[in-house]
Amino acid sequence: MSSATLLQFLFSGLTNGALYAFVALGFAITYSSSGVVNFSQGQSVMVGGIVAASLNTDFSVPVLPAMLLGVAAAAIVGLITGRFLILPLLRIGEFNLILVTLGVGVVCEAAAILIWGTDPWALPSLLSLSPLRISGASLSVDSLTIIGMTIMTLVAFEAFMRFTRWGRAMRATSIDRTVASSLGINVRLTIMLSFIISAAFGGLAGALLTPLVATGAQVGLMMTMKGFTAAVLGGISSPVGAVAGGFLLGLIEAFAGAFVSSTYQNSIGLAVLIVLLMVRPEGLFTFALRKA
Amino acid sequence: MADMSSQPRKWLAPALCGLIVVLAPLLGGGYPNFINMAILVGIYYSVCIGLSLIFGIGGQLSLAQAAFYGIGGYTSALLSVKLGVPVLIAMLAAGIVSGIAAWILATPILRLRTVYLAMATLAFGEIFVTIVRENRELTGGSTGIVNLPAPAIGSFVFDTPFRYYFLVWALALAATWIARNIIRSRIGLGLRALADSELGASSCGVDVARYKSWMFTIGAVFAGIGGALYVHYLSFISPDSFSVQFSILMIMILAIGGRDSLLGAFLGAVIVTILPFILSGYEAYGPLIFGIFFIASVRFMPSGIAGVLRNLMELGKPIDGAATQKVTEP
Repeated sequence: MSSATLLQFLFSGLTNGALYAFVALGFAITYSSSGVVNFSQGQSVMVGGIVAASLNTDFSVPVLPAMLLGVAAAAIVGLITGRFLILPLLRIGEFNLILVTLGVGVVCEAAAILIWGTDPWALPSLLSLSPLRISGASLSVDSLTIIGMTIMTLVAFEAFMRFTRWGRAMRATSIDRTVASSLGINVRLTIMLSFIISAAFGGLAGALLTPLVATGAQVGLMMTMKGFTAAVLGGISSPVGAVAGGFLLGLIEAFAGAFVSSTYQNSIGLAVLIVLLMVRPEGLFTFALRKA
Repeated sequence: MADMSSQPRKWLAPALCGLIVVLAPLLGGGYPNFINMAILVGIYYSVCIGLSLIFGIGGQLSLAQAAFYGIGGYTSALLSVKLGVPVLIAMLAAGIVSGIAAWILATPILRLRTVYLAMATLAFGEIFVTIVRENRELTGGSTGIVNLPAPAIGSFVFDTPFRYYFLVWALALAATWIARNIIRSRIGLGLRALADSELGASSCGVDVARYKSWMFTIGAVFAGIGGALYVHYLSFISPDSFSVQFSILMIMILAIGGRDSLLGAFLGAVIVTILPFILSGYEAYGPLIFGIFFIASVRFMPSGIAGVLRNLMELGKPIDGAATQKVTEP
């Protein structure tokens, strides 16, 4: 296998990895604030991508505003989920909460199929530039954008968590909800904020990915599983770990597709999850990147 | 459960169930779709009571039921089509193969809790569908296998819906009897205990790992036979029937009907089957309505419709357990 081909697999792994990283980051954010693993996390990718694509196709909205509206739509779904389903139900127990988020995923998918059908929706490239050529392999500008945005989002999010009032409130809430509440932090608002942010991240990933891979109404559940795998790889309560886990999963899948079997690429990613949960459920990097 | 000991009721309930099964086609036979719907209800119900043991009573969120349903379906289809095994024996083998698959999977996977178990079983279901889809020579890939034979006893072939109905419901009643005995046995009590707290249950002498493995396996046997019944009824098998969406559907059926009782599994199966007919003309909205109904059930009636009925009729205390988990957050 030539080095150009290898490089090509590397790029494709990083691109998918960026997508997984966004979803995993969403898992990490909502999990730290509310302790809920949100089964509908992947639906925000679908909403962001499909809203952007349909606005562009049906209403001729230019690509950039369409993408932003896609992110906004995903954020609204996150707001509704957090405000009307998670917050009132935080006390019904973990088991029932998982069922509720599973139901939210079912409802999102069913509604999306009613509105947009089951066919995938495509979106033109954000910047119509020719792909970069790097020693024989090509890297599209869209791939570069989503990879770059992942890093920038992570940095911005970490800065937000460290240096702003709201970020500090979210960190305090993730450590201990009761104590945070007694310190005057509005815990409910913080949890809601975390659902909005995490859904917006998913929506951003969906909007950025749609120029590369058309988005269909039924991708949400698979995104949830991949994002969760990435989050578990990196340790579910750490944003940095989640992003690292996302890229790692993308690379594992790309090279498994190259060297083992391209038809089982998805299955290998899922097998990673099963094996990982059995061997090291607390994540691979948790010992290195444990939160202060 | 005190009323169980009183003698007259011991045979009353099974006799009543049998009578209803025999009389139902006569009463509802006038409605053209009745038999077909009753067959589907019977199959969904059998698969659901298998799942209710581990999910409803044991409080373990397993989303692998579609895979076991599919393993059963494919085992029976392949044995009967490729090897010419009599269908009823192939169906039995379907249950056994599903059970073995579950038994092998149980030991490592059931150590996982809550959402981790859910995701791992979901991943297993997804991998199963991919394997079926990609092994085209064996399974026919996405197009599947057509012209599956109908089951037969000697020269009596279950080739009409009316005959198939009795086969399905005979097995469904047998499954009911088995599940009922498990739920009311020491194992059932242990399961309910471990749903509340595995640590607490194990300290009281419940062999948590073994109980969970057994329930997972028995549930898979029910699902495997249900899958076999389904594909021979349609005379067709394809991977679409066994996607992870089916696992989620089974969970929703149980949550809506009532996850901690056999009546709940029945009511849920009835609702999911008749919903498209109620919505005639608006079937497309079915999944959305069912999803909303599911969320509302989890929120407002953790014991489902069966729980509401039970409370209404005051037939005694609801079987408290996994369904109505205790408040843990302050």
